[in-house]
Amino acid sequence: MVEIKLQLKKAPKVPVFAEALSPKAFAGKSSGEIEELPLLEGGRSAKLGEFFDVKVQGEPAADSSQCDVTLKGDLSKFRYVGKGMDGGKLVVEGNVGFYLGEEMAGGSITVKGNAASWTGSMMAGGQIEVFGNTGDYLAAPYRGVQEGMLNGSIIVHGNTGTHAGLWMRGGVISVDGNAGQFLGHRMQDGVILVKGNCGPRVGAAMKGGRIIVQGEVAEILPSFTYTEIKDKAKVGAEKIPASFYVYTGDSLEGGSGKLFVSRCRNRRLNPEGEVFPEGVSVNQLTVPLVEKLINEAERLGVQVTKHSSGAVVVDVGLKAKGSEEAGKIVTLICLGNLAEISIGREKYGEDLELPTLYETTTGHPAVATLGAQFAGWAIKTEDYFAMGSGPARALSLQPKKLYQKLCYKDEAKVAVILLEADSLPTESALKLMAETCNVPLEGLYVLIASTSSLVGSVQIAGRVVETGIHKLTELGFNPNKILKGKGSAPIAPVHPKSEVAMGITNDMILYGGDVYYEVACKTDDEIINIIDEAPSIASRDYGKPFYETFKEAGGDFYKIDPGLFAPAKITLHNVKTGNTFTAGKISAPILKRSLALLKTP
Amino acid sequence: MELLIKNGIVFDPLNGIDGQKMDIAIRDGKVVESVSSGARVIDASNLMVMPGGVDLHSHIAGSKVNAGRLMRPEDHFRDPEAKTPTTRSGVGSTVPSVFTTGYRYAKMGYTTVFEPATPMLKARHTHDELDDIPILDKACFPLFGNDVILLEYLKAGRIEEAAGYVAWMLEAVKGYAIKIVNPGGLEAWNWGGNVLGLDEEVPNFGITPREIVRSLCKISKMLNLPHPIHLHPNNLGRPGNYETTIETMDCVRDLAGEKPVIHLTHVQFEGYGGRDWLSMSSEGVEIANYVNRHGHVSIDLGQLVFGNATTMTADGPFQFQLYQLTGNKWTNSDVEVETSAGVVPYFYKRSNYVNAIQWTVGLELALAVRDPWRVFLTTDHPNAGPFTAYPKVIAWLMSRKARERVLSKIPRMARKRSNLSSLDREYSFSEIAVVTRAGTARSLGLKNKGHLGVGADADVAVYPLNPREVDPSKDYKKVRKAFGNAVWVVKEGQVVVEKGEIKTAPRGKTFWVKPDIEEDVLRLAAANLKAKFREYYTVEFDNFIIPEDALARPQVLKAG
Repeated sequence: MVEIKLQLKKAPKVPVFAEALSPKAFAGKSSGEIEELPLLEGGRSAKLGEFFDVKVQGEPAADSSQCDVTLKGDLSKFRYVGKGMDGGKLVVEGNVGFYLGEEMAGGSITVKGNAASWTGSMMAGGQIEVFGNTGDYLAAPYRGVQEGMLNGSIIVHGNTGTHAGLWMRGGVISVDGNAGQFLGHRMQDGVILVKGNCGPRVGAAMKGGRIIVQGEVAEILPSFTYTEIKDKAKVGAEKIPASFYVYTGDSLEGGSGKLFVSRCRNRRLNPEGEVFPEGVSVNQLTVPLVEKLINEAERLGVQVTKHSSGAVVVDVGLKAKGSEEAGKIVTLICLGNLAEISIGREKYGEDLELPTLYETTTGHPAVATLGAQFAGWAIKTEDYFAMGSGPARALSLQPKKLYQKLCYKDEAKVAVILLEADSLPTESALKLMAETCNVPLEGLYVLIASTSSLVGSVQIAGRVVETGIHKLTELGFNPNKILKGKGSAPIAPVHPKSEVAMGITNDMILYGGDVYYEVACKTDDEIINIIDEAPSIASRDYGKPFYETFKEAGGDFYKIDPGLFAPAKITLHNVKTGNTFTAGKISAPILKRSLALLKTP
Repeated sequence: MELLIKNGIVFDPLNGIDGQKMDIAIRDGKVVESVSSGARVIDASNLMVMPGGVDLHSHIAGSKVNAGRLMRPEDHFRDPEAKTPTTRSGVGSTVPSVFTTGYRYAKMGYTTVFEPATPMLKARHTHDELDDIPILDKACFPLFGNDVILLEYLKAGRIEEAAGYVAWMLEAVKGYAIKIVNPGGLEAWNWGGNVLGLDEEVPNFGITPREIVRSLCKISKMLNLPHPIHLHPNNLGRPGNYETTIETMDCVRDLAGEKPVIHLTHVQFEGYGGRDWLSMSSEGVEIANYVNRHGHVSIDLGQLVFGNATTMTADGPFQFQLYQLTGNKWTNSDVEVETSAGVVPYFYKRSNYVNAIQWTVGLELALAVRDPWRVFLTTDHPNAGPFTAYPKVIAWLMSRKARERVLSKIPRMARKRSNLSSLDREYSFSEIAVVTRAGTARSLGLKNKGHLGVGADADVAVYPLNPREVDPSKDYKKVRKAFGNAVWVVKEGQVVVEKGEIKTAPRGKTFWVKPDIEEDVLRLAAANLKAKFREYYTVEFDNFIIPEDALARPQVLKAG
């Protein structure tokens, strides 16, 4: 390896054609020979030595791949640096001018500053990395030429201008910042990834390849056709986990290029007719309810502990006995206060009457249920484990994929969470929760209840609407198309053994839950395709009390068909077509069999 | 200034000189009997000497050439010409910049080149560009075959007035001969259509291409123009078009005189058999057979050369069809009153059987037409290939081996659909001199060009090749190299190329023809036209006329 260092000593007055600034030209040359290399300053023939001090360390190598070249200084006026490079390393410590690495086939170029337009023009291999911005026409071919970048990769950490990837035929362009208009214009193949925003006319006249925009797009051309939502995009071996609208085009060219644009950052495109959650903080909304629990602790039968760290822990059903009203409040807290709840009595079959919870969403149903209430956060430290549910999840984004689907996250400085556990959270667990939610410990409110408690029974019945939405989502239904959710489920009597309690409370939903959703779908097909699969009856494990199923599975949850977790009866009403679809039924006999378990000690 | 080109091996077919060793004496831009002992001597011992090349069909200037330049930056950027103390910088490839055009022609030993398609309205532009092309003598052919005013005269059957109009127009725009492109078809193209046969009526005029061709042929004779009508026929570039081509040649058979009365240009594009691209075949020999039997016709090849080309013709509907076929970029221009034009870049592939058949058509024509005085070497630059490929074409004409080499590489289907492999003829140096200078000069009526007799313009090319030693049939590569790099070139007695480099780049002349017509007929034509200008044109009548002093070095040629 030979190290060749050039220091700019005289800035040129006019642009310099500097094809000689390349490992290819330097290979096998001494510093004296390098200084003699020709450059063209405007119309004047000049020598490299006029502009640069040259130092060569090590034996000159005839093979350019053995050359490690460093150029220091502001080279903004030097064009064609690294042109036709086929190997070796070129580092520019400063800015560099037009046509950097034009037609390069191998090796690597690193620019610490900015690179001007036509960086990587028509490149066929190798790598260019620019830490600053680039000008327009990144990787684009010479004017009029219809064969663009063929292979290799270009990474820009800053922004890029217009027409990046023009006529691109292969390889990868990755831009951390924003891109200007006409991104991927006339692209044939290859991949362009823009992590920031991009200007109008993205993908115009593209025939193939993929453009991925993680930020906002200024527009989608009318000649692009929306195809689907995808949960990831691939760039080489790398997968980008985010929710994308996928478009194909440009149909004016008969093209089949793919345009992935971030769904959550481009909600206004809304090709699916989704209802996006806007401007609600599920944590903030529950603060009055939490305050009520704390202020009226005694009446509600709950115990409040202010932890030394500053976090507040409210025992609603562990040692505390709780109350029906506390159960309702806790349920509402879990739903981010985006619902109304009442409790009454309902007949199930001829001779069974049970206390029943009625629930109606008042806000965004998917945010209330999947975004808050869903028990999707396994809080795990060395000395503690619990399943967490409630609004705090919208801060910790657990699980992340679900929030991508909803395009929702909360940014409140208060976090409220319900733990279903048999012991109080430890110091480490509190710290973990606060950190993950990015709130101070003083802003953390932890409610805790075991399944074998009154509050536990009530709040599990209160999950009937969530269970249905979750199942529909698992079946591929877009939860953001649900406008309203209503449901009811019997409230299970409390059983002291948590496994049995878990079984009975589940049965209340699986065999006694009845839900109704108002949805907005362009066609009924979206509903017809899944409705029969939606209720619990569609599961192979349907038909006996959950406790029995659980025992048969050897106490292993993962052996149970996840499709079982659904309300007994599901009704979908499509407001766009006026049609209503129902599947499943309430099963009083199985509810009875389940309740018979109460007698087992 | 005197100059003596000594001991060269001279080919001057017009003067019956076929490879004799002799000296050429030059004084004041003309070939003379002898010069004084003080003359500058060029030692041409064992070198081949020919008159300067004369090209009668090469698109080198005008609005569509410029459109081609503008739309094809990619054509230029890999072929730059740096400036030198004697030459300007420029770019080359298929549509070179004006200066580069002059230099590259001169380096091949060419000294006269005619631009064959000029819309009258844009003639001023053509002349400005021609003026900028150094070294070469030039001229341009105005486009008459679809001119609305002319068609109106023909529709009314007023051929004398039509002749007056053509004469006035030629003089007004400083043109040289009558050019016809797709007669009637371009007028139809102004309405989005075309005319697909010699007897199909031109929309709105009720006359046929046959009548247009015949009338213009008669007018050309009436005006005693030095060059016959220069014709790009209907149906160019379509399979099966050779029948139209032969019909077109035949439609003026009765007008035959001493000289050819019709010149069909770039006939390669007009010699296709078959019904469609799949069944396409070469019918070059068929056309050659007609030419051999009929002395009233001359043709040039439009020989295809594999590689990059920029198709540009006044044939708008053909260009549009080519654009649809290739999906390449294109432009349409000059659609107003007089004509149309289109430009589409094209890459001729040896592996493409259609392109390969096209390649064979031109060579079939060249080899099967027996009289070299009626078949000329062109590539219809830059349509079938750039003029810089002439040496390649010369090598194909002179060497069966050179042709075999390409034949062995083209698709078998193309070989089967052509007669080329059965043609054994190989051109001699003298015949090459005919098809590249003597014949073209005679066809253009340039009495002082294309030969080295006393009184001729002293345009001379000396090629680095000893024709007595080199067997062109075997050493075709040497032939190709020599014709591409003249070692000396003299233009009007001035050494412009020395040792293969441009030594100086003087300005050439622009020829124009003053037709043989009564002055009062001309005045009447002008008076009639003045009224029409208000109706049809976007410029004033007086501004339309190009005065002679608008040309840098005009050279009038009186017809008759």
